[in-house]
Amino acid sequence: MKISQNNGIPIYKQIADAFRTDILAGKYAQGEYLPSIRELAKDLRISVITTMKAYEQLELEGLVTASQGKGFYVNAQDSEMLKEQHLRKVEESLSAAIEAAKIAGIGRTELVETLNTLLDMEDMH
Amino acid sequence: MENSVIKVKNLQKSYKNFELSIPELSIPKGFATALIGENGAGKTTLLNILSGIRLDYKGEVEYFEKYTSDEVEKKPEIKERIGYTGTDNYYLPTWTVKQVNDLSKLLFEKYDEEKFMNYCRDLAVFGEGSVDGNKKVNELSDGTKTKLMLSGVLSRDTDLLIMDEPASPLDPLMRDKLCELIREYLSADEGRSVFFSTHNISDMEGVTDYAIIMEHGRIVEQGFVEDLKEKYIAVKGEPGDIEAAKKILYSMTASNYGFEGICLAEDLDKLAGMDVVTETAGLFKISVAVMKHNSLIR
Repeated sequence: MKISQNNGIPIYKQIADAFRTDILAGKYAQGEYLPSIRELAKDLRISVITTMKAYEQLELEGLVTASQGKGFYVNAQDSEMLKEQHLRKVEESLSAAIEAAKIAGIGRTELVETLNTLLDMEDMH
Repeated sequence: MENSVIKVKNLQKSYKNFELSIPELSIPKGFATALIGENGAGKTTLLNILSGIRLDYKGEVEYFEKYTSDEVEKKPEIKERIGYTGTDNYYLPTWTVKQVNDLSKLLFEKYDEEKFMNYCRDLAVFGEGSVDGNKKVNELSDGTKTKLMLSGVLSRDTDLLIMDEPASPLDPLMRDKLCELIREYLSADEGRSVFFSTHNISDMEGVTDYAIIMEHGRIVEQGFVEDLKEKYIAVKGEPGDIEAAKKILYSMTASNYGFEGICLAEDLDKLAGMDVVTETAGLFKISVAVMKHNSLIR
């Protein structure tokens, strides 16, 4: 896990992002425990409260559950929810693209064409 | 707050030109808490009271959610659970390192001699690795004395570490090591807590969970660092907005090229229309802003 101290994204968010990606990619089995808060803080060389906040964020998103005295384990990821999570990511990225296109004065047709071109290129690979 | 390792109520201690007054304070259990404040803010007085060095105060102090300070004084088994390092000589200057070890063995039941020797070696208390037991405490530099104190206190099995300015005499490498030692201490047992004062806020930020900021004997701000970072936002802006921003910002410094400062999150909306960038403030910036806001220094 790569944590940057000064890239503007709060450290707890960076940690939550990294775990979210891993969990959604299926790198953690259902019921598997995440590293303990204090161990992770030690290994990442950050404060305990920061790792705690990262895990709470994941809990809020329904990805993990806190188990009293035992830590955080990974929830069953039903495919509907997984798809929802991925869809949200896609929407976020596309919104960013739309925003950039607005600034650059690129119209709807051109933007759609660009997306189609990129998709075509992806298919060729 | 959930559990606390120390709880303080109506604490009062007066000197000629100074009064420490803390109506209520709770230091969270399981975390590292930093005590921040100007020289003379009362940090050492507070630490000395909490560590049992000063007993001439008014008010209540409760340890481990159970024991009053009177009980701590009377029951050595509770004192066993608390470790302390200070800025003055904790060990007598004429003691040799061997005597430090022998006396620690005598004083503390849960003292691990082998651990002490290992820490002395790891922290290079004697330079090139060998432990010279005949070296006297007053022959050591300030930094090395602190390393020796750390070795001693970490060789005991405690639940609470109270440290007065542990980082100040240390070099950058050793400060980094200090953070690592604190993390190791906390990760070894979930119930362990650390409470330290520091002026080296940036160096210690990576290990600070909770911060308490003091000014002239009073606590002016406290909270988990992650929460403070959501409350105090760093802001930078253009020269044209300096006058308007001055009325809104919590603290700021201005120059010909613009201004920067700290804005309370609740006031961020009022900056609408100004050309500003906001970012997450580090604990150093937040502390300086809070201190400035409450300081006698202008």
